[in-house]
Amino acid sequence: MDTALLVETVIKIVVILLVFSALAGFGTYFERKVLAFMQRRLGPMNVGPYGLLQIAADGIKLFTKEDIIPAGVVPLIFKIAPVITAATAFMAAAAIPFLPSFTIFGYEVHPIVADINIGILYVMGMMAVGLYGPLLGGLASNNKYSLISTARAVAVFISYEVVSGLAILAPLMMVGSLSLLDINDYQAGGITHWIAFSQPVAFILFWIAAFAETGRTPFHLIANDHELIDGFGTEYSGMRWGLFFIGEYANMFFISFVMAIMFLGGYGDGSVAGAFALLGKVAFFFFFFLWTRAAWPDVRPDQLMWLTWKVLMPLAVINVVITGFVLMF
Amino acid sequence: MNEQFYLPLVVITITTIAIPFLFHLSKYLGEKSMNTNNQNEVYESGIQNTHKDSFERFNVKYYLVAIIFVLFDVEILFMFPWALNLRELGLFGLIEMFVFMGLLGAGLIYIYKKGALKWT
Repeated sequence: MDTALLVETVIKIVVILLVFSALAGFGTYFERKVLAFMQRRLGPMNVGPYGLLQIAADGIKLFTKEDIIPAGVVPLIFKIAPVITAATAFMAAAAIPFLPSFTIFGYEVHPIVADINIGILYVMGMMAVGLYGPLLGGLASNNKYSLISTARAVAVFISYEVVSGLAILAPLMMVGSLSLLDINDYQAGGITHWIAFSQPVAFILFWIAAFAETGRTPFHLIANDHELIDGFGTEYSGMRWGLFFIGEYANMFFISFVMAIMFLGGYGDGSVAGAFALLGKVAFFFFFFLWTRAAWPDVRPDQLMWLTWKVLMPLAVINVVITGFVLMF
Repeated sequence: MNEQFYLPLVVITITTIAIPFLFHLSKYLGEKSMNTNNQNEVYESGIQNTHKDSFERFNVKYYLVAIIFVLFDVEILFMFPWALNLRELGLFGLIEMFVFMGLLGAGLIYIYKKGALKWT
């Protein structure tokens, strides 16, 4: 029993690691293609059919590149920081049900690593710990661009942590459970049962916070190319930079899964159509990240703080209060 | 029952920390490091490094945001158990939490008035 559980867990973890590392690669290809088409360009076309082998070429370059540790950095912290980003991103995946349960060769598989009863809190917590990657990496880099980027990253991350925490509070009051499986089952009755329709304010607030927590474009102050080079990643090269990269893209996929399961009904009743619907919703959220990058400029840091503390957070508190009254009377 | 929850968490923690370290080994596939002085300099967009190091002070506003965050995030964590047990706690729990949130709101207004969130 114990050994069976261990083997099953290890297989699941290896599959998740491989699938989402590969998806991070495909994510970059997809991002370049979408941005190119929105700007009336072709994007990567030379390497392989439609530039598809660009992923392999980039991967080989990233993996075999020379590992430079600049003079004046704090070596230990400099080396640990990218591992924190990548590790916490994948640890957050432990409580997310990626597909409904299915039976293969007479053995029932639950595509969730650990169905812990504090699921969503664990996922949000792990994503919050991921902040230590940019924080430690930027501080240890001994580079002024990295330092500014780190200060901004911390301010953005922790401000939007408050908003996302308050935003998921209102749906949790309705569901009464923190487990993502229970939240999914609550919405099993079809499209009219989706939490996005009963909690539209919470949905929009969490969506905005998701952009901030993954550092995507309207809030891409962390590595604003024209003023901060590559932010906290400026001094990193090769696989160390690649780990930051994998962590960032894996985070985008995982937060898309969380949004699809929490607000858009997840896999519904667990049929095959439901599984494909979940993947479709995740693909939509991921595409929306790229779409926003093509369509919107970055905001200033002070505008960002103004938006969080003076608009989004009061809205979230009012949403919780109204939900409480509606549930009670 | 408990091991079903926590054994996978321990395993995923160990694996996800170990595998990024294993990824680092791939650098031995590529060329060997030249380790020259110019290569190891701090990146400054092409100009020579003008200051000794970057371990220096920056704007106090960032620290203020961090302190305010600690305040509000702890209060949100208090709300999670309440949100899950809302139906059992009933009207009494609802009013009690709204008093707590009123204090939170008053604190937010005080922070506005003090200008701690003003970025100029």
